[in-house]
Amino acid sequence: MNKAGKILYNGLVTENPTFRLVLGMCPTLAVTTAAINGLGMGISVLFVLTCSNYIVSLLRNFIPDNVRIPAYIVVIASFSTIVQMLLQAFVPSLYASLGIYLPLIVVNCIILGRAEAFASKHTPGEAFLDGIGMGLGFTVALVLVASVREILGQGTLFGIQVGLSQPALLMSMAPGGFITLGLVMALVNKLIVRGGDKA
Amino acid sequence: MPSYLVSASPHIRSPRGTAAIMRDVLIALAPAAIAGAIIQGPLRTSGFEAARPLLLLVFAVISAVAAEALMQKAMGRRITISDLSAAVTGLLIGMNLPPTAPMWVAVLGSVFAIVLGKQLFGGLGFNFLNPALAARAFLLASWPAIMTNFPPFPVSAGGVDAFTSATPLVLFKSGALAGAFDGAGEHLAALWRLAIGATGGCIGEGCALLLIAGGVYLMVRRVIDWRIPVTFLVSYALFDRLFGNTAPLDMMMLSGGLMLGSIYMATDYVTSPENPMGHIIFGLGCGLLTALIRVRGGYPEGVSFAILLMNLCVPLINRFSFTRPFGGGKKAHAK
Repeated sequence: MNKAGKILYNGLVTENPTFRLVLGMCPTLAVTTAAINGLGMGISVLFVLTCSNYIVSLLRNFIPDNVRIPAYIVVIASFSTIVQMLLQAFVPSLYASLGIYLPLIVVNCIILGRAEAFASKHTPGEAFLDGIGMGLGFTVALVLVASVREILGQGTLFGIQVGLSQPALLMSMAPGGFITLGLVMALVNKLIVRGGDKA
Repeated sequence: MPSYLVSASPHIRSPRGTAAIMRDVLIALAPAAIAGAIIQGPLRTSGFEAARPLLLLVFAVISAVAAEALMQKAMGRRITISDLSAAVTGLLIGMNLPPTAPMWVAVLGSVFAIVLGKQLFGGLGFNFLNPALAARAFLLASWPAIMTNFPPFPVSAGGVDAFTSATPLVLFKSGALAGAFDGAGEHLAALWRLAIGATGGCIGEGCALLLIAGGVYLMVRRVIDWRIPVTFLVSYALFDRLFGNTAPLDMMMLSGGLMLGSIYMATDYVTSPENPMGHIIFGLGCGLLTALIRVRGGYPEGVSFAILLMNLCVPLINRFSFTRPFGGGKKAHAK
């Protein structure tokens, strides 16, 4: 596999932020009540992460070490404000259902973590790819968890009926988030990631 | 061969294993379960509905045992359904269902209890929550309408008609029964109905007399320690009054799942503290929380949530109720 592919695969599978690094748990548990929310959150993070990774990497030789975290946060906050305004303007319903978790992207530990651990040590091109890979990994994970919760908790998927007449309300509530995340994480690690490690 | 064996404690082993203990629990639960199936079955209704409570119990037990066997096979563990612990869990789930519940609720509850509540944490001895209660909380939160659908119990006596429309606890909570039992005869009649379980409620929680009889059997057989149920009930009575409940205390004690919970679920070995002192703290906490939820909370009944919350405190209680070895002194365990 070439370098670009490796970086993407790393974010998507080997170091999947949700299933392997277990970062960004707050939005993962909070917004995954419906698949569309998971998708919206995932894409928002994908955008912010990719842009901030790129900018942080460009600035990596100019930011003094002592103030690097505030500097990263300024970069990240700029992009999450852009996402917030875009969503508010064009998809107000998604904006409403993501609520406080949208501005909270600023302190999302995946984004801060990648800025610190990857972008500040790699070239802008690699940081950009890492942002895409990690963002996709996060999006896939959120959609996976949210789909399970939506099907079991509301009997729908992306708002379409799937024929579950008496859905389990618990799956839409907080305990359902923890239970689903744990089970999906275990399953993904068992089926995909561990298998990938061996190969 | 060494001439003598040096080993760590325990040195005294009881020949009684898990299976024998669980068999005793089943024996103790059976009368109340059968009484519940009859009272909430043929005595309350007719046709298929009359068989439903019994079927729910059977389905719950069978699916708990089947779930345990399948899960242990899938996880590559030794299959231990012969220790009867899954059967006890299944029976408790069945007894915690309303007599009108559909069969799939019993199956789902048992599967949830065994798979998520027990086996995923490592099986018997490793679960931090009582599996049956975890399943009840799951069912109650997921299908509140099904889990609180208690049918009225037909009655001919005049003064206690109020008991026929919903569970006594709901009525007490709403204040609908205020002053209903001021007459001594009416009070006694209502108390008797509660003691034998001729009221609306879950299948197995009604017949308080048989539940207590089973509890005494378990205490005599030394299967359970008296401290948990007794401190649970006493502390409940105390805090119930302290929180200003105006409903008759004797009726509050016999209503709902208090007997089933305090005798059979709070005493689960795995999810209760290890020492006598811990048992007392555990019982006190259960009673306090039950009273708090019943009197001040939003739900009419709080036994199951109280026990679940105290289950979570067990590691903490164990730390504070450490048995000091003889001669060890205070400092030995000050750390």
